[in-house]
Amino acid sequence: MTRKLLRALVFVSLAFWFLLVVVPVVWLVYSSFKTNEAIFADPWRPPLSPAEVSVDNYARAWSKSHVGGYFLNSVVTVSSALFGTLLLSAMAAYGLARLRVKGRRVIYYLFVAGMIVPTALTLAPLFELLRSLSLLNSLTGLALVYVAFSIPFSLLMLYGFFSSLPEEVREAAIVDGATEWQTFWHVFLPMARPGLVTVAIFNFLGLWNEYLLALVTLIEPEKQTLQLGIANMVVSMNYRSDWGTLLATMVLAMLPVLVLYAALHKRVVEGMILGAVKG
Amino acid sequence: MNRQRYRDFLLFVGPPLLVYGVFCLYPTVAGIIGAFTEWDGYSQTQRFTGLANFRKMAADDVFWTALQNNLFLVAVPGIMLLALGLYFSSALRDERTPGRRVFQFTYLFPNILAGVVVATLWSFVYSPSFGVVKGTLEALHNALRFVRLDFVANALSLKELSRQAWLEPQYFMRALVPMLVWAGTGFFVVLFLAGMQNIPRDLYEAARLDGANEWQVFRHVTWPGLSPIMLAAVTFVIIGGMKTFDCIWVMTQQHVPDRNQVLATYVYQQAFSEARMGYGTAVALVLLFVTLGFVLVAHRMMRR
Repeated sequence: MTRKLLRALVFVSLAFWFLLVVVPVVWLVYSSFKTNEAIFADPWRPPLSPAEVSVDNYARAWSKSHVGGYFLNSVVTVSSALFGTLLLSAMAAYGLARLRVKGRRVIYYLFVAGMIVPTALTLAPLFELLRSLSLLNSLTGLALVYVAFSIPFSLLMLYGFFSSLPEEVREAAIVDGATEWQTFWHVFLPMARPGLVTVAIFNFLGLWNEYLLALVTLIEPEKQTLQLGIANMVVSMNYRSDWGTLLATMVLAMLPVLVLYAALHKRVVEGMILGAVKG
Repeated sequence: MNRQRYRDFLLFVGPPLLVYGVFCLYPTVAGIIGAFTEWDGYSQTQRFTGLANFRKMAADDVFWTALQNNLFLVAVPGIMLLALGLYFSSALRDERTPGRRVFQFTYLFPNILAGVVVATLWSFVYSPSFGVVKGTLEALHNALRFVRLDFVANALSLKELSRQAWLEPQYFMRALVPMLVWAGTGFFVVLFLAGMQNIPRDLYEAARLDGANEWQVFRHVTWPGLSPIMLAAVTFVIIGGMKTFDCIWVMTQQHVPDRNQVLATYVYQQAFSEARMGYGTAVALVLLFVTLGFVLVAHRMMRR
């Protein structure tokens, strides 16, 4: 009897936390479809009839508040950084795991040491470096920084992957006359696909949500990413209370992550756990 | 043959090393050196000043406040995250719990949201104009009045509390706690659930056969079985609390009051708003060593 009661109480607590998580997110999504007047009149009320649903916030955000630009900047920067990270980490992981050369362990540790570097320590020198390379205010500059900061962890994961694959595969390919690069590209990379997907998801989540490095690198409004755009809109709410636009922008920033999470839940969880345990 | 191998090695490792070296390793080394200099970021001069930055830090009240705030953000939300994570993961481990998958799925969701988005969302929660906290307190006040318990409502000064601006500097750090716990708990639930999968099922069955209750199962099977993952969890709590930046930056609208500074926001403020790049970087170096120190101490203590 007491056991049953206890289990019921535990379930209630689980349901309570469920609501605590879901309600704000649901509120955010439906409120983004309300007009500013409706938000002010009653911030809680969901739009119940089709007449109350309005996509004005999205239209206004996209055209008037640079959000279309922010979104594209984020997409361009993150996708190119992701591509660069995967390619370069896989190359380094293959070289370090498969080509037995003197001093490779030192280089491996040099790479992995990057995981403990706090972003804050690099901000000032990074700013000066980017300025002297004319990469300040440039999405290319930010993407390169993202690649460099993503390599240590990605390399660690892929190194484990490439080390676990049998050496006979490589020898067979070499005996067949394949160059080292062909062996890497046509044999090892396809075999490492599950590892690459996990690394890609992990990095996507981190980079899409990244704020501090973008804050230091991108100064002009036209160049900014979604996260910078949202943070600046929060400040501008003080003199221009256009909550609708802000809510719509937040939904847009959340959308890619939500889609990825819903579609690949298992892989996301796997990536995050590996990230915590190894990092 | 050997030369060919070196050439291949260079082909594979060279380009990644170049990008990593220029954009991560170099700024790190320059940062460590820069911590011992005076350097404003505009003029080309960077003057070596030895330990002057650190001496200045020892006498800098804002630095100590920031460090204290970081400790608060490691300890208070940290303990709650670990406790709630353990509680929910133990509840979800039980296969008879209905809706386990749905719970797991939703709990983790806030964790993958951007810090900026979470902070903005919670600014609404605390907003004095249409905040959730305000609405809840007012509803409670009205409910108590309705059942003629005015004196309880007055004793708790609910009306006054509901008009409180929770993000004012004196309440700000504490107001962060519910937000950080809201956003982070799911991660620890998932992490501990993964850890529990490595605990042999026979141990649980044996405990059940011996008639152990839930608490005893937790105390004697789950807790010891989780110790390797606990080390990762504690490390995560420490690093997370020490590097907090986004949520404070956004919720203070990019002007962090002195008493709400943490080390990372103080680094940014000093280096970029005050153009004291040397001093800011010195604070960052201290941030690194304090974090490493805590992680090492935690590992030492938990090895036992």
